[in-house]
Parts: sequence; C-alpha cells; structure tokens
Amino acid sequence: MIPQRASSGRAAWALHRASGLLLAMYVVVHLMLMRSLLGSEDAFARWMRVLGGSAGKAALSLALGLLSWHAVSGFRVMWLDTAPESSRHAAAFRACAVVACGVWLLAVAMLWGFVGR
Amino acid sequence: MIVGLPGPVARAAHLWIAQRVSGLLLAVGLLVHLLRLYHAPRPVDYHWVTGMLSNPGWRSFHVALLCLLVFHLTAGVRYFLRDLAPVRRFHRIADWAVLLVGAVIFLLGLQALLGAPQVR
Repeated sequence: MIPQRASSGRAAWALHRASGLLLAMYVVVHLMLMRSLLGSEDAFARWMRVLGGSAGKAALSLALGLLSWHAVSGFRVMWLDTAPESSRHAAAFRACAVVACGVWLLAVAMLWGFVGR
Repeated sequence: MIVGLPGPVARAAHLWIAQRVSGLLLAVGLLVHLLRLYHAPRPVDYHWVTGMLSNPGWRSFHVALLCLLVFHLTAGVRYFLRDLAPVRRFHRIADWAVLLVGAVIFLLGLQALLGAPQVR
C-alpha cells in the first residue's frame, strides 16, 4: 500500500523501500566479493587492501548507513502495525532518524578506528 | 487470527508475519556477524576467515543468516514490485522473477560459504 499524501509517513515509506533496494544490491556485491576473496590468499590480501583504503571504508560506511536506517525503520514499521491511530507518527519518524544516525555514527567510528580497539 | 481466512489471504498474512520475523532475526544475526568481525584479530587474515568458516557452528550460523537474508530480500522486493502495478498478471511474473533471483543469490552465497577452503 503506497501512502498517497505528502507526509513524514510517505517519506519514511520511500526511505525504507529505497534503503531496502540499495541493500539488496549491496548483498549481491558482498556475496560476489566473498566468493572472490575466499578463493585464494592472494585474492584475499588484494581485496583487504581495497576495503582497508579510504574508498573501501567510505563504501562500507555508506552500506552501514543504509543498514542502520533500514533496521531502525523496520522496527518503526512493526510498531506501526500495533500502534493506535492516535499515535504520534511524525514524532516516531523523527526519533527513528535520530536513533539510526546515532547507530550509524557509532558503527562508522568503530570502522574507521576512532573508538574501541 | 489467520485461521479461517481464504487461502490467498492466509498465505499473504503468513508471508507478512514471516517477513517481520525474518527482519527481527536478521537484526540480531547481523549484529553478531558484525561484532564477530570487529573482534577478529587485526589485521584480519585469510587463515582466520577460512578457520572460522571451517567451524561447523559458525558455518551453520552463516548459512542460516544467508537463508534469512535471501528470504527477507526476496519478500521485500516482491512487495516493492507488487506496489508498482495492481495487475494480477504482472504480479505472477514478478513473483516468479523474484523467486528466480532469490535462488541465484542464495546459490551465490552458498558457493562462497561452502566453497571456502576447509582448515582442519
């Protein structure tokens, strides 16, 4: 069911679908990459050099952003299935965006080595 | 709640529930997957990865994660395609196309996981 009226609900719906589709494409690339890098020690070292570089980390950061948004937005969708009509949907959308950004920033900081190990 | 519904409606309801359950399990599974990689010895090397994938427990975990991922992905893309046009014939073609693509992605993942060299 596609929300017809311009609202935070429509934006959330579009962002959830768009992030899901982009993640689906990422999964295909990820699996092809796994297939390639597990093939030999040389291929593994080559791919790790690419993924360990700035461009590789930037691409992984983008994938982590999509994943954070899609996961948090998915919880919002499940909440919507049980929430009463009078619920504050716009506030839930904003809260969802804040949580997703927080999770993403933490994940990116861990990936780039700014926090943790 | 689903008991007593006509066949196609009950099937749609089951798929809807399965989509949400798979999403929840994926959230947990991907968190475990990412934390496992985060706690890997640095730099991550080939022998550590192949060693992990040789462990029956981790191998089963990754195969289960792949199954959940492919199910969630194909069901999600199916919903997306079905929303594009309310035409039954198009829905039938989209269902088959999504099933085919899902099978290809699953085989690709299975090949990567099971094709990895075994470390004894």
